[in-house]
Amino acid sequence: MKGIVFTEFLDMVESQFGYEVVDHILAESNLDSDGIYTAVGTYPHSEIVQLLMNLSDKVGVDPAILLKAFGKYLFDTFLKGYPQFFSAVDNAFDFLHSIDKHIHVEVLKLYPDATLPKFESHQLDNQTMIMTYSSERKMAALAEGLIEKSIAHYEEDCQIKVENIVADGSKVKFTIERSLA
Amino acid sequence: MKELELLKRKLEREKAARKQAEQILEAKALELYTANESLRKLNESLEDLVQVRTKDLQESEEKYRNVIENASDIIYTTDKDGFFTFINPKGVAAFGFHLDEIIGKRFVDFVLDDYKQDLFEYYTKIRKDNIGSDYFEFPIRSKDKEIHWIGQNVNRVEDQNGSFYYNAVARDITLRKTAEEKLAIAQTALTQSEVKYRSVLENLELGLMEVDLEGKIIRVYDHFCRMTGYEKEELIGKDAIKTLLVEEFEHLLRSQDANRTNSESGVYEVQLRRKDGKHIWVLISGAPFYNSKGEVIGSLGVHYEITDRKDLEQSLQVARHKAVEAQKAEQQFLAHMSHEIRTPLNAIIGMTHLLKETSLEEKQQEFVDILGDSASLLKGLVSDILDISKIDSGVIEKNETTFDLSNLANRLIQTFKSRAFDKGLLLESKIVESDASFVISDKQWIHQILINLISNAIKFTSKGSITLSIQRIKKNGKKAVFYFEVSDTGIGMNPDEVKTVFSSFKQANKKIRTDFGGTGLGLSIATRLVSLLGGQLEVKSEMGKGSSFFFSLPMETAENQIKKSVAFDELDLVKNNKVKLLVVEDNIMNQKYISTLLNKWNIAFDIAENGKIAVDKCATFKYDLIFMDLSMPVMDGYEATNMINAQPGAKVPIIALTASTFLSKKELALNSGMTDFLAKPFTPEELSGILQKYLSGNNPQSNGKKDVREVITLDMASLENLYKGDQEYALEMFNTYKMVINPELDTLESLVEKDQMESIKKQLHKIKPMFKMVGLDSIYADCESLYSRIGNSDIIEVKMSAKKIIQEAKMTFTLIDSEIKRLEESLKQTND
Repeated sequence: MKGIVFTEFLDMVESQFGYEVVDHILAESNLDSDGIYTAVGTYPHSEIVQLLMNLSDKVGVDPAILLKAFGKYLFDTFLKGYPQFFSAVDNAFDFLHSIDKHIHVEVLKLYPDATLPKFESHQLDNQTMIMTYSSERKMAALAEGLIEKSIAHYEEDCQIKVENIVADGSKVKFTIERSLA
Repeated sequence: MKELELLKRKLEREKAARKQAEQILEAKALELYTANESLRKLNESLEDLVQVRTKDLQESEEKYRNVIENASDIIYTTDKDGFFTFINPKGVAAFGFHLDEIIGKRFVDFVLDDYKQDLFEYYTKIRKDNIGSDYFEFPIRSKDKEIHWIGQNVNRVEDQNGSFYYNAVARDITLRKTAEEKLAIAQTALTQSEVKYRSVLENLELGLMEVDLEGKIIRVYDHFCRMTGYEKEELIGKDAIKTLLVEEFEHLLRSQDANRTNSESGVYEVQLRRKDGKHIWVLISGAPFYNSKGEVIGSLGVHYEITDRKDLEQSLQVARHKAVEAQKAEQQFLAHMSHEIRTPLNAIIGMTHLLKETSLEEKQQEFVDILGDSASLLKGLVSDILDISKIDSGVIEKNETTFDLSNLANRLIQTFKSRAFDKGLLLESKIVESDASFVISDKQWIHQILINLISNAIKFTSKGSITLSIQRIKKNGKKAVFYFEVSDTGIGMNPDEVKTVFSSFKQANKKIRTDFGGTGLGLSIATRLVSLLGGQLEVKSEMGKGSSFFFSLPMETAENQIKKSVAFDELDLVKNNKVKLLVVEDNIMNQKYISTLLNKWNIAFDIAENGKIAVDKCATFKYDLIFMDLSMPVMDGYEATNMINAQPGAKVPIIALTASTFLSKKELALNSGMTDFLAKPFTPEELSGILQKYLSGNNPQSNGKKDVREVITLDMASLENLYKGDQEYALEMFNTYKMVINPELDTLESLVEKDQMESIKKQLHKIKPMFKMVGLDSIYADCESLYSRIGNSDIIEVKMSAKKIIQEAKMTFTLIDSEIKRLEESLKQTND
């Protein structure tokens, strides 16, 4: 997993819960990296899972909710760091379609070793599109946070329906429907 | 404290993260550098490669340039609008332009105006259909205004910028084009010619049809359809023979077809069946026709309708048939008339002869002579008409025998001498005896020809002479050609008369007919007989000076060993007195005539009135000779002959007596078993001839001499002529002869032994009239012949001939004796 996820996650914990909680979950977790993360490095996936679980224990909040909140946080980071991806399109659907087709393609050029989730998307009609998340890391909640924040970014009003296609959450279907204005 | 430691741990973590990031970045920088280095190296090697490639490319380009510059084809490029951008030297040289006169010009500037539009359309099409490569031909004008045909392959080439240009390889094809044009002109001419001839043939009313080798119709022309009534479609593919030909001609046509495949042409007439079933006649000329390899692949038949002509032919045939039938009827009529006329005529002539034998007063004698002459004239007329009709209908046959030509001539002269003498004319013969001796031909015909010519000559000549000439003009072994001529010094003819003189019933003019009489048939008969003998009768004549009729005949010559003449040796028969004849004849007149003659000659005979009686008589008595009339009541001559011949014992010669001279009757008679034929009316000589012919050989006492030597007889006619019935005078002359002849013959014999030619000649001249006095005309003729030959002929031959004359004369002593005896008896009877 890319180092930016770890640094941004720890930044979010520090800003929400203070460095004490950061220090706590780092100390509680058994980490090969000794909790030393840099945005340009790459670290094992298991470490973010330990950090999330320890945070949940510490603050008494469901890990899925934590993960969804992290998605929303991450969106802002992406928006600041890579604005060209967002100005290329003018609506949420087009942006969501471009994730798998364009943004992930560009990411892989820069970080050939990156392990990215798969986002198949297709449009049912003008009002409805479907995005299917596939990843062994089962972090669909993070994706949900990102999708919600994207829709909000383009100032649109959509209903998002989340269904597990595979029970363990490794494949999840998002049905995004524009509200009738 | 706790906060400080927390901060301290945070800082350490930050520091560690920073170092970790620096290490990562350093590694990244190194990685970048390495990548950069390898990129630089790659760039360098690429540049080397480009240089090598560029050099290769230059070499290749050089090579291609050489190829292009030295190519025998014209190679050029134009831009997309057709402006020349390159042309190889061949292209520059080919049409006499300089390079700068071409480059920058448009391609079409050089093309002939008439073809610019074509070319424009062509390139438009290439562009529109996006055709990459194509071939096109067009003419251009060279600098010296010559027209060159160009055949070019053009490629459209697209460059990197997506625009295109044209690459072309062209060749001067003027020679080929010229040849093609000539060929096209020739083909056009050929087509025009074919069209022309086809239309000519169509207009010629000739029906043309082509068939293949199986006889299937492969092409028909309009006129043929009109001719046969079929449509083209009805004929194509059909079997020509089965569809069109009338069956009976199938064999003919198939054999013609076979010839056709052997490349033979032919013309033949057949009948075709029209579609409507009508038959038409056509004349077909068929010829084979060939494929390009010269093999026969079928035949062309040209049909010309000749139905009208055939109809005409048929009606002509019918008409001809009718004409032939009519001619036959006429012939039968003539034959009938012949019999009807001859029977009473026979009696008249016979009675006249008998009347002459009686003692008559001078006046009566004169009347009888006139009667005899008129009857003979009438007989001659009937004979002439019959002769003409027989000759014209081809029923007479040539009867070739061996005879002495000079003897024939001499007898003719004798016959006509008195007639000529009466008119005060000189009748002479110019005959070379040695030339005109024994020949094989039809004696009767030659006799008749000469009689007609001589009597004509006498008829039309009032003063001067008539000359008969016979001359051998060619001799090759036995084959010879004899020239005959009868010339006179008579009235002659003008050229127009000469032209018609040989036509039947044509005499020179009406006046001639009135003045000279006659039927005008004499020359016609002579002409026809000469032609039947292989010659041609011709005439030379001058008005007032005379005429000359002449002809040449091919004849075979023969040895001198044949009986010279028919005669009757009365003495033998009288002496033997063994002979008895049977005369079978129903006509009283004829009975009387023949009886008188036989009685006169002391020949015994019986008379039978019909065939039945004859057969009965033959059963009881053995006759030596039978004269048999053909038409008789009760039983005719044919049946009687059959029955007599059926009787046992030796065969009797049976001589048919009939008035009919038709060959068919004669044949019928001979076929019925008869031996010979005697036409009525006959003369005493003819009768005695028959007796001599069949009875002398019968004589057992005959020493055989008569078979090889001629039988010398007394010429009764000549004697009659000479003494005119004065038997006393005749007896005196015979006795004188008997007294003087022996010493004269002895003298001649001794002269012959001494080879004294001149003396022999004189002696012959002396004795020859003596023979004439006693009717030994043949010896007289021999003397005369020998007389004229002496001096011209071989001595031995003369001696031989003279000896023969002596011998013959001595042999006639008994003949002379018997005549003296007869004359004495006759005188005695008269005196009693």
